[in-house]
Amino acid sequence: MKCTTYRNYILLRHSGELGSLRRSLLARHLSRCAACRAYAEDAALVMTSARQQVADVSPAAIEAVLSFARKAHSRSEEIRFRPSREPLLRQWRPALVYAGFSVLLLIAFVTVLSPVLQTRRDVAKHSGEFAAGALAWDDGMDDELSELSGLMATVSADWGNGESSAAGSEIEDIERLARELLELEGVQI
Amino acid sequence: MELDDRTWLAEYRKGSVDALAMLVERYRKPLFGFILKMTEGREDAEEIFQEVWFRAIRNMDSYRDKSFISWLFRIAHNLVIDRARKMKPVELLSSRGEEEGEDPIESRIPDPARGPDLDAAGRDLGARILAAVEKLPAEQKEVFLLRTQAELSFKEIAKIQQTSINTALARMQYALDKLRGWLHEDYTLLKGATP
Ligand SMILES: [Zn+2]
Repeated sequence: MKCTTYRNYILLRHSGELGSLRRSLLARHLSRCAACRAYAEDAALVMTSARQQVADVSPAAIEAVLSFARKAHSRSEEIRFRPSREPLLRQWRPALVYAGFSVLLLIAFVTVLSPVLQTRRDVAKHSGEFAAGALAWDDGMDDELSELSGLMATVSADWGNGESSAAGSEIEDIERLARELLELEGVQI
Repeated sequence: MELDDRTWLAEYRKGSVDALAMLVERYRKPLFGFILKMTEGREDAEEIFQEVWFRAIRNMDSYRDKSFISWLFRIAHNLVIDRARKMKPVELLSSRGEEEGEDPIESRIPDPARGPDLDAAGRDLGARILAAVEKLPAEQKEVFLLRTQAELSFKEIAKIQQTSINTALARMQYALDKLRGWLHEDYTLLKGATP
């Protein structure tokens, strides 16, 4: 191995990061390499001397830091105090959500279903008329239809007998009945 | 040490500002020493020092690192980088070539052994070393300071610099080689003085 590698070992030994295997390899190298021995001595001297020369910060800067910490602490106290109120809201939140949802559901129910109910009411109101119409159909229509079929039979017979003039007035009667029937149907529809 | 940090942190989270004061006290010198050497002057350094703690306090709840000091210095590292970007965007962390043997900044560094910085620092080796450290490229200087001032492991330093341990070690070797060269006379004198 190169001396550079052993010098890394010297630095790692100084920082307490050198394992026992590499430590013994280094010891063996140092016993044979004067340059690395000198390097190890100088490195230790430089690092130890530099450590002793430490500048100091002003008391004002320290006080500024501690004052900031006190403020941060009082803020966190506020935050810690607030949760005593927050759980109450948190407790009630589901209930409030359900209540709100229920109100919305009610509004939706009323909004969506009221036209349907109105229609039902209208249907109920008109159902009497429908029933009356149906009765009118039952009572009147059957008579008129039977009258119509009777007339048709007569017309057919008359056409067969060549009596066209009598048939003309009877056709007018048929048309009138047909119009009345259509009018009656129109009302019902 | 690490267990103590956790204890103080737990106390602070419970609401004790005194516990935080203990942590600030514990790391005030290494943290400020590191920031001071990484920035332009004392005023800047004090400002960054405070900002490191402000950020730490604000993010204390999200702190999950194994090592508090490592986390603290990572905040400091980021703030120093931000500041350097604003100050001199071109020179920022320009030591890319140096790890490959090139040394583009070397030629611009005055000889600290004869420079005014070291004359002012006097004969004290520690002061002379730290004065010389200021002439190192940013990344090498940072590794040297994180190792000597904050006493971080190379593993932690690599994490802060978002690089490999080998790169962090290489940066430290370059830094030491330069310092050894610049302070050669002091070494010789010092070694001669000690049996
Ligand atoms: Zn060697």
